[in-house]
Amino acid sequence: MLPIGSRRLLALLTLTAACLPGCGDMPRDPHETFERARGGIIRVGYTVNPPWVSIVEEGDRTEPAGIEPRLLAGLARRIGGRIEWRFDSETRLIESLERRELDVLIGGFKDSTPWSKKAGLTRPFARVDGDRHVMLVPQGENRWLLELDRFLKSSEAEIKRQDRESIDNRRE
Amino acid sequence: MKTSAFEFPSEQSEAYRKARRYEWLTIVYLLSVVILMYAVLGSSQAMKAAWIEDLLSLVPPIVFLIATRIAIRPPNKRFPYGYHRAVSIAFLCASLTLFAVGAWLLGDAVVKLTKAEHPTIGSVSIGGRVVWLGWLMLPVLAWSAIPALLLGRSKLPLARKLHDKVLFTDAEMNKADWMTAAAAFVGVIGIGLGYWWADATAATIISLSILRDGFQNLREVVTNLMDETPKSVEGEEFDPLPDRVRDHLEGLPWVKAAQVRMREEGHVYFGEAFLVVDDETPSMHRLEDAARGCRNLHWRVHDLVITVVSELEMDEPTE
Repeated sequence: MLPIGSRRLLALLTLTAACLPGCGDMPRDPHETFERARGGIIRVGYTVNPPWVSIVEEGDRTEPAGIEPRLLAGLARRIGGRIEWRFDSETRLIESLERRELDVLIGGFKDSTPWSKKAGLTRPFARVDGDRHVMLVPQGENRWLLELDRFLKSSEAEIKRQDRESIDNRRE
Repeated sequence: MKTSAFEFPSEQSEAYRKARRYEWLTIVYLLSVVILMYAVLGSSQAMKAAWIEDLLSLVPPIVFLIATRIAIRPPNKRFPYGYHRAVSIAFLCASLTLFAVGAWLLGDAVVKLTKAEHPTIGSVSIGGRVVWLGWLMLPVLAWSAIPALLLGRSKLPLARKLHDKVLFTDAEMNKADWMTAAAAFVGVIGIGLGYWWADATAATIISLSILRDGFQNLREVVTNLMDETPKSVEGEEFDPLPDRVRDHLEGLPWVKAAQVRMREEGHVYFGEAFLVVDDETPSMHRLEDAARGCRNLHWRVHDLVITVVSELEMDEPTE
C-alpha cells in the first residue's frame, strides 16, 4: 500500500507523463537563441588568445582567425547562419553576453574560467596539456548550448587533425 | 539510584532494532543518491540545492545511530543520571540541520529569483552521442524522491513507539528530501521547457515547508533541553503521563495530596513526586512500593524520586 503523501508524488508523475509529448524537444531556450541563429545571425564576441583566436588585418579591416573562429564558421555553415563578429576586451564581452547581446564568446577559455558564474560553458572540445578548452554562451540558453555542444563533438576529429600543427607550433 | 544499563521493554526493543536497521539503510541509500547526483550535477547550479540537501540529510540518521548507542549506557559516578540526554543532543543536531537546510534552500532560491539567474544545464557525451544533462537528472531525482518517501513513512510509527524525537526529525528530513527532489524534478522539466524561473519557484515553495518543520523541531528541542514538561513526539501536546503518575499517587490510601514534575531526557522521563501523607512518617516499604507502582505505569517513567513534605509548596503551575 502506498502511503498517503505519495498521492502528491503520483499526481506529479502523472503530470510529468502528460507533458512528455511536449517534452520531446527539451531543452528549449528561454530567449530563443537557437531559433534566431538558425538561418539568421550568430553574434560572436572574440578576444585574442592564439592559437585559439588570433586576428589578421586585411587592409583597414580586422578579421578573426585561429581554431575557434574556424570552428564557428563551420557551425554557421551547418545551421545556415551568418556570423557577426565583435572584437573587444574580455570584461566588456562578458558584460555584453550577460545582457544577451552576444550568442557565443570565444578567446581560448578553459573550463576553469572565473567567468563560469556569469556564463554557460560548453563541453570541453579540446584538451591541451591538461587544459580543457570551452566556449561561453549566455546563461540558460540550453537548446543553443546543446546544439553547440553537438556541433563541437562532431568536429572533434577535425579539431585534432587540423590544429595539432598550430598547437605544436606554439609550444616550440 | 539506578546502576543497570537502560533496556527498552520488549515491544520497544523490537522497534528500536528495526529503527536502527532503517537508519543504516537510510545512510546507504543517501550515499547512493549523493554519488549519483554528483555524477549528473555538471556545472548546473540548479541541482546543487537538492544535492546539498541530500548530503545534510545524512546528519539525522548518523546522530541517531550514535546517540541511541550512548543513551543505553548505565549510569556511573561521573554521569549519575545516565546518558539519556545524548538523545536530546542528537535531537538538537538533527533539528538544527533540518532548519539550516530549509533556510539555505530559501535563501538560495530567493537570490536566484531576484537576480533572474537563468539556470544553465549542459550536456554529456554518452557513447559518442551528446545528451542533455537534464534527461539524466530526471531519473536520479526520482531515485532521490521515491525511496526517501517510503523510508520516512516507515519511520514515523517507530518514532512514536520509541518516543524518539531524533527518529521523528529524521522522518521529517526524509520528507524534505523527497519534496526537494520533486521540486527539482519539476524545476528541471521547467528549465527544459524554457521557463528559467520554474526551478527557483518550486524550490522556494518547498523550502518554506522545510523551514517550518525545522523551526518547530528546533523550538521543541530547545524547550526540551530547558526541562519543559514532556511533550508528544510530534511536539504538539503535553504528555498526560505526569498527571497519571500524580493520580496514581493520590489514589494510594495513605497519600493526602501529591504533586509531580517531570522532565524529558531522551526516550525517558526523570522526575520528582512530592507527597503530603496521613501519618508523620510513611514506612520505607510504602514509599518504595509507591515509586515502583509509578514506574510500572509506563516504561518512560524511568527515574522518580519521592519526597514527603508537610505541605505542597508549589502552586499548581500556570498553563
